[in-house]
Amino acid sequence: MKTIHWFFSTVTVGLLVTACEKVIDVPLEEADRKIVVEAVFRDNPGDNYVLLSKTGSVYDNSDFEKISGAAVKITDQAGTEFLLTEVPGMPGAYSHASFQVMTNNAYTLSVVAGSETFTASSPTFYKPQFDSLTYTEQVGSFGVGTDTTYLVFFSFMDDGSAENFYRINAWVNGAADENLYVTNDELFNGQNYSQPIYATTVEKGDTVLLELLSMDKANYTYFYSLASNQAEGPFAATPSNPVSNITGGAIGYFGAYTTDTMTIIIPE
Amino acid sequence: MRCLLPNSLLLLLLLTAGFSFGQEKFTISGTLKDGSTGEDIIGARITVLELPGTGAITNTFGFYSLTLPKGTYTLQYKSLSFTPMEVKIELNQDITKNLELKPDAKTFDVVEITTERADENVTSGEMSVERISVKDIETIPVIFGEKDIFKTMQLLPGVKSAGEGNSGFYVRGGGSDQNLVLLDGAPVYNASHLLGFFSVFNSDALKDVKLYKGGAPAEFGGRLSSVMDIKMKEGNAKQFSFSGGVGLIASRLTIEGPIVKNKGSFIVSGRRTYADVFLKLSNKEQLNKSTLYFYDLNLKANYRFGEKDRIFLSGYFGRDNFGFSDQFGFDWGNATGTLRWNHIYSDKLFGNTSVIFSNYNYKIKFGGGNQTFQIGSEIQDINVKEDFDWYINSNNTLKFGANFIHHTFKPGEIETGSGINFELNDIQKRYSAETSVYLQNEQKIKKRWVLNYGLRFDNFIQLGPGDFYTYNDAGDVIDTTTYGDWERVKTYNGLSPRLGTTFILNEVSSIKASYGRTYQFVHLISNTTASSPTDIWLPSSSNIKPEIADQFAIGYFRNFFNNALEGSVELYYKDMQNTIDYRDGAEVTLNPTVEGELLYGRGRAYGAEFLLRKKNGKLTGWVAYTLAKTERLFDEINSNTWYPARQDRRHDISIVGIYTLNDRLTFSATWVYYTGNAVTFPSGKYEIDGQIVNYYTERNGYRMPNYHRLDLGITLNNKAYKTVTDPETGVETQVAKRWESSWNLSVYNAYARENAYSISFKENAETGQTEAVQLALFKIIPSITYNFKF
Repeated sequence: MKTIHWFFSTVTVGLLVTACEKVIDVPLEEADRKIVVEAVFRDNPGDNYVLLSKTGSVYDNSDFEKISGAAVKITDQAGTEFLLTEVPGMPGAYSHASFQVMTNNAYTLSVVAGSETFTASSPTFYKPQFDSLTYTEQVGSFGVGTDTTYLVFFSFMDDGSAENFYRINAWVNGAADENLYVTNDELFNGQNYSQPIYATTVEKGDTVLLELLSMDKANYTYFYSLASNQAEGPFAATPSNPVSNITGGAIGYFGAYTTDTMTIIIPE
Repeated sequence: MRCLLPNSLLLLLLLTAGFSFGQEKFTISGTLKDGSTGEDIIGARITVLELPGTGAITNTFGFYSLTLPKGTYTLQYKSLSFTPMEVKIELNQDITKNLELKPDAKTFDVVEITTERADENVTSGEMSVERISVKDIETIPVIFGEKDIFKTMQLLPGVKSAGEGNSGFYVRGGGSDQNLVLLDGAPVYNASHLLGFFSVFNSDALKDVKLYKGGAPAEFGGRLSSVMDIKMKEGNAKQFSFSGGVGLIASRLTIEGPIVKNKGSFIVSGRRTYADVFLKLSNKEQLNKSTLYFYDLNLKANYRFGEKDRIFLSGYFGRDNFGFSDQFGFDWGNATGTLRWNHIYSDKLFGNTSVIFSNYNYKIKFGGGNQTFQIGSEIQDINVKEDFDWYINSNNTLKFGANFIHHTFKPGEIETGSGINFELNDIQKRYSAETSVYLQNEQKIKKRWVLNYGLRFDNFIQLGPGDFYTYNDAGDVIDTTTYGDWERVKTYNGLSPRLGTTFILNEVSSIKASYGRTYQFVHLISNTTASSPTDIWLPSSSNIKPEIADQFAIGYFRNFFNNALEGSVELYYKDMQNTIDYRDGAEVTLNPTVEGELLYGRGRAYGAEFLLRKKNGKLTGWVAYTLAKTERLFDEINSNTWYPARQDRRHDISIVGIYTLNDRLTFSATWVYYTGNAVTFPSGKYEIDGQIVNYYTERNGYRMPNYHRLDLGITLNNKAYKTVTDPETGVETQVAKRWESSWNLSVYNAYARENAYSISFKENAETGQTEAVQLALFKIIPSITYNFKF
């Protein structure tokens, strides 16, 4: 329902022509530094990474401290361990050259950084599959503006045997789109589902690559709350930290995903 | 239920104590009406000159009843803006006296408003009650020049605005969903237009507005914080009249007149905005197909069948409509209807039977042709109500009645067009039944005491059909139970005592105290900062317990300079149980298991309210100051320590001045100042998914900047009289014009203060540095409105 919030913000700002922005001085308290874990594993061989860093001050620039020399491993349901190694030239980034996520499995991540240990688990489900990508033309955006843009729709068939959670990533002409799209099958279990990537601007001639990820509820909750955290304005929820699935005092997430990708080119 | 018995016994004892026997007594009763329009006069005071301290007040239908020992009396009938009338009566039998009062004659240089009784403030049995006069609403400057009772109400102590230009309000630390807004007895669930900038009430159609901030009589229940009781006009029963206005945002038109002269009347009042007219002028096809407007329509009719019976039919219909081309549509609105039968059973017993309907819904439509996807939500009430006023004797007025409400909740209805090859399931409907009975007596003891005591009993049942979930501590479903039609899912009972007392110290001062308990069985589910049209309501259930509030208040009332200046101080403490908050990142829209996203906690609010008000003379207005604190406590939030509620504002000041220069020119000014809302700001940041994300440590640990604003207004009445020269005698006389008109000019935020609407922490695209960016919505907003009447 981020559509609606976004729509409100657009209308509110669009209507109120006298609105003005300025930078003000707001003194903020300093929170203790926390370790941030971003652990992403896909079902393609070697398609995985773990990024370890620390939180920083709000007003400092964003070159966050990286955590090098950590011991990072992922273990599957059968107990097979895969040790990740730090990527040369990229401090704080860890990867495994051949590891691949399998369907209907369950993985455990373990990170030992200095004296601290963090763990997390992530089950996997079926391999999702896009049916098709389509597009429609629109002028302006929800009544604001007059530019002609395109709205890209994806559709896929949900697995009726389980409760499923999805994330959709978009790249326009190779550049990653910042918008977060997540959904669950509470309203369409076992049926065909279709939705536009409503917040992504697409123009004539653009190449749009979409990725569909199947994930567990903890990952869904993480991304849903991450999206709420980033929303702004009067129709956004009270800000809070995304609900992490990592235990041991770190923030961030660990996800093992089964995925599918599809590309559409908007004709000139 | 065990505590019901002792309470009712006490009540009976108190009641019987009020009776006196012996002397032969008779009753004078009747109705009081406006001599020019035939409208009922509410709250008029009838005093007996021979028996100081004895009197009666007309109820909301203009009915009064007064029982006195046999004798000869002079009765004085007085009301705001009417010429008082004295009537001599020989009371040796029961008498019916229906009277009409003349409105105050307009003179050229004196503007005098006769108030109720001059010392009403001190002597009445009510406290924590605010009343707004139509004159105040008309002259006080507001944003875009759209007169708004809600915004005028926000200038009173203890009532806080929900934000810049917003019509939502908070009363004594309660949430905006804890206000019961009644239009002719019908609850209005979402009382705002255009994302909160305007209230849904067109003030042209309104007659009387009363806000109970606490200690509401037992006839009201169902919301924790306050009751805003709004009565619509009945319409002119003497002659047809038209009035209206053309403003910056909207135009209004009201038609009223008799159905049968002096027997029945009607009023139709409409309002519509016209921002979309400009869109129509666009040559872009997509744009001129767009819609952007709201409208509302108030209708009321009444008819008198004989002396004792009267039927009222009133309705409200309002809607906001946003649409863009045929790709997107969004509309929402309220509809209410009230059918009411007044019957005078005897000169002492007045009865009211009402059937009330209320509906709020919204619809959002995406896509066009057969490729559509629509989301809707709705709450609907059907309410049957029976109320009696029993004027037992001149010292006791007993109100009692019963009420039954059937609620239907549709949290999410999803429809897809025929061209869409998939379907989404609806969120299950919910049903509930709310039954209440109440009893309330106002008793005068000697001349110095007024006692108000009442008891309300509420029974709430959540009904099937549907699947009902049980959740674990993490909010995950652990069990599902299916119930059939009309099957009881969960029952709650609540007993609410209401007590109030006034002790008159001397002619100019009094002390008042009150206690009241309130229950709320329907809950707004919304974790957004501002109220939004997509807010949904849910009933109490096995998971959501009824919200309960206990409020204590004590006040000192003192008038100065022969009642020219009214002063009051009220202190209050409110304790709230089972208040609702949300898990971090809660998903509250289109979520069948939304109850798992809720958290339950406690709330407390306390404060002091100071009011100094001048009601008469050329300069009128008030100064209001509120010192308050509002906090919440939840196991899961802020490590289980008390944290400030968002609407926690330490200081809140409103100054309102209206200066009437002569009968043509009125100047007005308001100045407001309040402490910034409590807000959550980050105390760190980090990078994830290639994005910079804020890190939070404390709920509502920061403050928005303090808010202040000055508004100015001028009302210019065009000449109301014309000079007519008698052709024979040559004598000039002043004759009132049939066409009355006025101009209203106002300036919102006259000194262009940039008040913070929101503060966000963003990275500067050039420097890469994070900055606190403040958004201010309105700088100076001038507006002009033309009003007319004929």
